[in-house]
Amino acid sequence: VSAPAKAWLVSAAVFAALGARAQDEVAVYSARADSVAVTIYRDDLALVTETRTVDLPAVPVTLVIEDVVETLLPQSAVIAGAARVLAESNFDFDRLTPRSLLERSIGETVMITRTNPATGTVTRTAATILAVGDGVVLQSGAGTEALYCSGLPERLELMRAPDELLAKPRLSVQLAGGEAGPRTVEVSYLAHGFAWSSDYVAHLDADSDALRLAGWATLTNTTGSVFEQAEMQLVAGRLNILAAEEGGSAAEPVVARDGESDVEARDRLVRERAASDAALLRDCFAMDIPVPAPRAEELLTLFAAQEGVDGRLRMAQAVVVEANRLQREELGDYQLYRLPWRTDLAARQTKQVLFLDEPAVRVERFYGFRLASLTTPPAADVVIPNLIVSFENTERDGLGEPLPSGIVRVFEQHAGREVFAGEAAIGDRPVGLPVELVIGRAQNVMLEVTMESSRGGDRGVGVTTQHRIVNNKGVPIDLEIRHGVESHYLDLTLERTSRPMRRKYGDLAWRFAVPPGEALLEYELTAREP
Amino acid sequence: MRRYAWVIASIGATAAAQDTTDKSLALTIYNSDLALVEHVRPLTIPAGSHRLEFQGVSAQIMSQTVSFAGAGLTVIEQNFDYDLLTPEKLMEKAVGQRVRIVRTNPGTGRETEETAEVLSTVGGVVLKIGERIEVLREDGIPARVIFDEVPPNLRASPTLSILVNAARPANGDVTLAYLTRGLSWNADYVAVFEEAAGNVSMQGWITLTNNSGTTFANATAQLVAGDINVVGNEAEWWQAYNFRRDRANVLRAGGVESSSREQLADYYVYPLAAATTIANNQTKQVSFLTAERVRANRGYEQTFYSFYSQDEPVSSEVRVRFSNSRSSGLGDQLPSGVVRVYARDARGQPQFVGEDRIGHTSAGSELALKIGDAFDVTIQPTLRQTTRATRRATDYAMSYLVRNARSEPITVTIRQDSLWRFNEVIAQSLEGRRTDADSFAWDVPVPANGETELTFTIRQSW
Repeated sequence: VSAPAKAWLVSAAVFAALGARAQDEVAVYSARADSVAVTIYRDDLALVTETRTVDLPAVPVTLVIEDVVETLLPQSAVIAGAARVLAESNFDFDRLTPRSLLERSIGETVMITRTNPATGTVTRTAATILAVGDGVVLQSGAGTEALYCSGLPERLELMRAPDELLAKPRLSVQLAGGEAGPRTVEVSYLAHGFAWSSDYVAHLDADSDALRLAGWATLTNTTGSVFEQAEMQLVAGRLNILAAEEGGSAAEPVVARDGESDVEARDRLVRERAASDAALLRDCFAMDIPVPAPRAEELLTLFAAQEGVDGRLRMAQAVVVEANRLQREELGDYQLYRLPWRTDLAARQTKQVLFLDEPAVRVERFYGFRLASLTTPPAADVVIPNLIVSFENTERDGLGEPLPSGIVRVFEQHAGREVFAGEAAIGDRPVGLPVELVIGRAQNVMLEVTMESSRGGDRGVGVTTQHRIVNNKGVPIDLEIRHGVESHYLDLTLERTSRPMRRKYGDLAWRFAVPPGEALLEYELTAREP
Repeated sequence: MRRYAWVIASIGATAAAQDTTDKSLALTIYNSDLALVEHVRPLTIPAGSHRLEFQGVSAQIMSQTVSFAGAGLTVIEQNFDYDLLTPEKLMEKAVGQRVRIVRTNPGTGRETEETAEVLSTVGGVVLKIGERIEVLREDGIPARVIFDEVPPNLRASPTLSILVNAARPANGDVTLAYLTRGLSWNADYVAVFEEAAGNVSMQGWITLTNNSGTTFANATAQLVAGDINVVGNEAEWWQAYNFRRDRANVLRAGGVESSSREQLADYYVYPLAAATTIANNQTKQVSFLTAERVRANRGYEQTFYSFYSQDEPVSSEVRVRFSNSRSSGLGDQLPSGVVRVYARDARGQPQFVGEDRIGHTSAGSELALKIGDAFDVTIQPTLRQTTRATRRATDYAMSYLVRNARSEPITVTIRQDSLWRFNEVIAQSLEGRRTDADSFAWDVPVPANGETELTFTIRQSW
């Protein structure tokens, strides 16, 4: 904003704040924050806490907090440190668009500039804006005309900035009277347009059964706001957040197209809305020739010099990797990760920070197969078990850190090279909860499953299951076979088994070593149908 | 700020505007996207029939609800004009009229002006120029269309016009009242939970939103809390039913304390202290409740609706419990709204920790807000065995392994809900309690960085 324009806007705002009613009310302006802290949540949400210094007079005062994040949720705002009673709070933000400018200029005198396409002669005519809806209607000395309908290059110039058009969003709060003097006020509010995710990189050492586990947090600011020297925090865990139509804080979901990132999808949405808005302004009476649809950018450049609107629409995505590592603390029942020093978070920026790096986590590697039904055999004659990497999340085993949900990508040394071994998603994992990652399918390990059912008296069912395991790996492997039984079966009994069974997550489970070559597991189950 | 004026036109006479401001403007806003707007204005008119045009009424006015009252005035007819001035409407209304066409020669740049009669606007503008019939801009040559006047029924803003008959010259106040959509309010609460001190400080805000298309200047406003029955919302009954179920989950005991708040029939009324301006597209918040240090605690609970095993453990729900009774420090009824809960981090900074919705809650009620799922408290359900007890009774042996990765002991309430009609606990590792005709609950103590397995067997039959 140029200095005089800003001054003008501010004086207009003062006038509006004073209004017709309370001439004695005083407005105090806080143009910017002294410092800012941003806590990013998983659900497209962040808590922004700004510290601002204001000098309050003793009388009741309207405190105007300027330049807040435009996606602010006014109902979430908390203002602390004013030592005054809060009576009222207003959030005003008219996004600066061609439409909002024209709407605010209804009844005002504007200049239409037309260029003669043949001679290049420019004519300027004064006109009054009559209506702005689906199309714009003007009144000039010649009569009434519709804007953008003649086929001539036409351009509008506003003679003065319209009332109360706010280039930057602001929150104004009415405070009761009290002791005069400077105050440090803390303004906290929730805002949309922020996200973070966690990703893990796991390097598996083939010889020692040890895993190097690194966790990366990727945080994104998709808003147009810039945070300089901000304290950054991330919260892991699932907060209860209600949908917008229920009055909750959740953002409207943005559906990303193929190959589009969330940031790009959000950008596209903003552009599409601006384009349809701009197209509506060009609505005309029916004409036999098609009118080329204006591009949003084209219309917006008109005003870009004034406010840098196109800067906000431009897609600039920079990924910055921070050298710092996040520090963890508990926040109620969630995990809070804090960047140990202040950092700049630019508009539309993505940052990556390490939050976990454990050099040697003791892991087990085994193969697993699960039957999901008492009587139904697997679809294929020969089944391939899964390759599973599991670890105890304890300090003793080299970890003992909460693991926020994300994707774990496992890399393995193979013939002196790192190869990608597979990936698995994990949910939020507290310390002490064992982790099993199904990273892929076995190679050179096969199972043949045969099941034989029989009927017994009194609705009885008997099933004999035989697993023939072939291990062509040349080394012994660890295998886990699980048999899940539907919960409607009653009186489930293991009548006989060739190997010892233990229960796992409600299933019957057998875990044993398979030497190179063949192995067998056979057992008989009986149950009753309800 | 735009001014709205009465435009008074005697029948057959030219319109004369009387720029008067509201003597008073009163708004009664309901929290179901509905508001009653009432203007009181002075009016001076001679005897006879007059058209009163009220410009700038809400674009979402429910015109069938308009009532107009003034001493000695009789309403003959009222119209709400939706025809907004757009290029398309301008051309449509010009059918049969003359317009001027200014063409620019693309070769020489010379401008020529002709007068044309608009014949049709369907699918293209058909013009009659002299004896020629042409379609506007069929040749692609730039052509301005100039209209001599704006038709009287096309307006830049929605207008209500009322035809009145004055038996004698009127000089007094008139009242115009109507219902409109686009104005609504809801309550929002900010609750700062001080875990160590065992209390919560609450601030209640009334959030007013105005999407009516009109700015209401200097209005006295009152807000009505309560579910007003609005015809035509029956289709949403299922949504409402689900909503009430959720709500019932938050409300643990209904309160019986009465409040000192102003009441309107069975609803509560919140008048705003001072006249206020509610701008179009503005979100305005007015404080209506402040309660410091209301006794509160945090608890873990989880409800299971059937018997099953799961590989992936369930994170326990975290709830913040408090009462809005006088003795706990609140003592006020709470209109329906969303409560946003903040807690302090290790540095004492407030952080957002979750939100929940409460229904209209009378004073003295017990509330349990679900704020989220605990990262460090998980429950792993395992159905150990189902056994046939008799032909009509089955025994379900369940195990719930509750793990606590926090560095403090906790209690997790596990509820087994939606049982068959006849049900009983026949074995349990811990003394539970019946919470309902079809549910039981157990309070499971779990040591710090430890686990507790709750096992029980429920016999149910039909």
